[in-house]
Amino acid sequence: MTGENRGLIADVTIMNPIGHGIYADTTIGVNDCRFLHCAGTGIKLIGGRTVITDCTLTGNTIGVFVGAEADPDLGGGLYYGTGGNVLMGNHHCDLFIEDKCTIGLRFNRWDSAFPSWGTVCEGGVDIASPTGVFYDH
Amino acid sequence: MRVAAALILILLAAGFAAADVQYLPHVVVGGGYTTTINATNLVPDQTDWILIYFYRENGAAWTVPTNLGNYSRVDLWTGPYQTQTVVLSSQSTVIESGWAMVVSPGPAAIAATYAATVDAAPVASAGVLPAMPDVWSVLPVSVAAAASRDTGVALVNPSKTAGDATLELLDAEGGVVGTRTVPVPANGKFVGLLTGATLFPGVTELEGFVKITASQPMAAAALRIEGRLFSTLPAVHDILPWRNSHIIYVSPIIGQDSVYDGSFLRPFKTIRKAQTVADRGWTIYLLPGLYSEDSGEDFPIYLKYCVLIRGADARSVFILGGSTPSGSAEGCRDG
Repeated sequence: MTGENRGLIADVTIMNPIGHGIYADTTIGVNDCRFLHCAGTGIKLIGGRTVITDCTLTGNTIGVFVGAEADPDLGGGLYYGTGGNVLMGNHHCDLFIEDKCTIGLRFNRWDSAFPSWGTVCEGGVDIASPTGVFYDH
Repeated sequence: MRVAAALILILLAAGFAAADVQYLPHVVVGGGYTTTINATNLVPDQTDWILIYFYRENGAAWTVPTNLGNYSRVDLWTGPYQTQTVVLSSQSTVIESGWAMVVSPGPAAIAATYAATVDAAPVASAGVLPAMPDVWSVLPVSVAAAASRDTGVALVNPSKTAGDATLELLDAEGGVVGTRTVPVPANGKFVGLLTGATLFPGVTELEGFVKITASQPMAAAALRIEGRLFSTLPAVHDILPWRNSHIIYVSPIIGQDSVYDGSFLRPFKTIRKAQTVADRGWTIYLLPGLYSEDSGEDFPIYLKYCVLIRGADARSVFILGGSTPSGSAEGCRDG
């Protein structure tokens, strides 16, 4: 599933045994969805200001991928995101941030009470950022 | 030992909490009727149990005759993306009805079909939508006494306490035609024809809706009956269909792309078709079911500009993508 500017999706379960759940290169909204068992990434964001709210991402290879040009809000960020996401049990990492950026990550649930962090997306770490990250949780 | 027991209980509780539960509000067998239930395990790399519990209208466990034997609970050991089928059929001339609850440890797509035969000859069949409990629901209804057309309403109360439901009969513009309140037993169900003595016996001609407000979450379903023919009608929980003309409805179970118009009563079959009609500010409303290449979807599905794709409930609406990711941003348009 890919996004045009300001498309919205809500209240569905999305799975993809051979690819990503959602791929967005522009701004979309994602509310109350489940992304389960995607062989790629649950939500792959390459660009845009996507707001993700009250979603569950689990069992995917990567939960959310944030590309260098993407500026999402997973809670408490610049775009009025309220969080409520569950990012747990994704195989490599729950959130991958490709490059330095500031991302709202408040009011979410992770595998660890305080999300674990690493530079490599492996071993189920909560947040991975190869270049270092300034995030707000 | 106590610690181990407590740990097991916690794990069991956690496992139950994670389970998906869906409901089939109307299951019927006997008198020429059969119900076929298909359950598909959508968890990759994991074979697991999908359990189907059957209950009578009064809430008691119901032992049903199936192709697997007579059971009140059917356990289906189901592999990844495998579909198991349970057929309820009986030689009895007595029509029995109840409801079913389907429990799966992970996402599972549920669909059912009613079929009716007379003298062993098929006369009608209809796909059946799973339903999720809610405190209010809206069903489309159609009554035409001259054409022997009526609408059956089924309402399941899966909780352990008895409740009641108020049914507001509305015309096509949302005007109130009548109101009735019916009791629904604990773990049981109310079922009745719209023009039956319990509901609205004076109604002879109406195209409209029933708005159901329940004392606790209940799963609703409707069946249009016309002579010997019948068809399933969709239910919605969070919108007022008579006030929203810019909603396109989709159902992989009861929809049709070629002859239907995407309305509440005549939903499209695929999101792909709905996308060709949806314009800025419109909503594509997905009724329960599995949206996949097998149901006619064409991946990737694009989110159009300012168009909302909204499911009835994330626990019963599944989009199963199936395209291969590409390495580039331009080409990476997978499901």
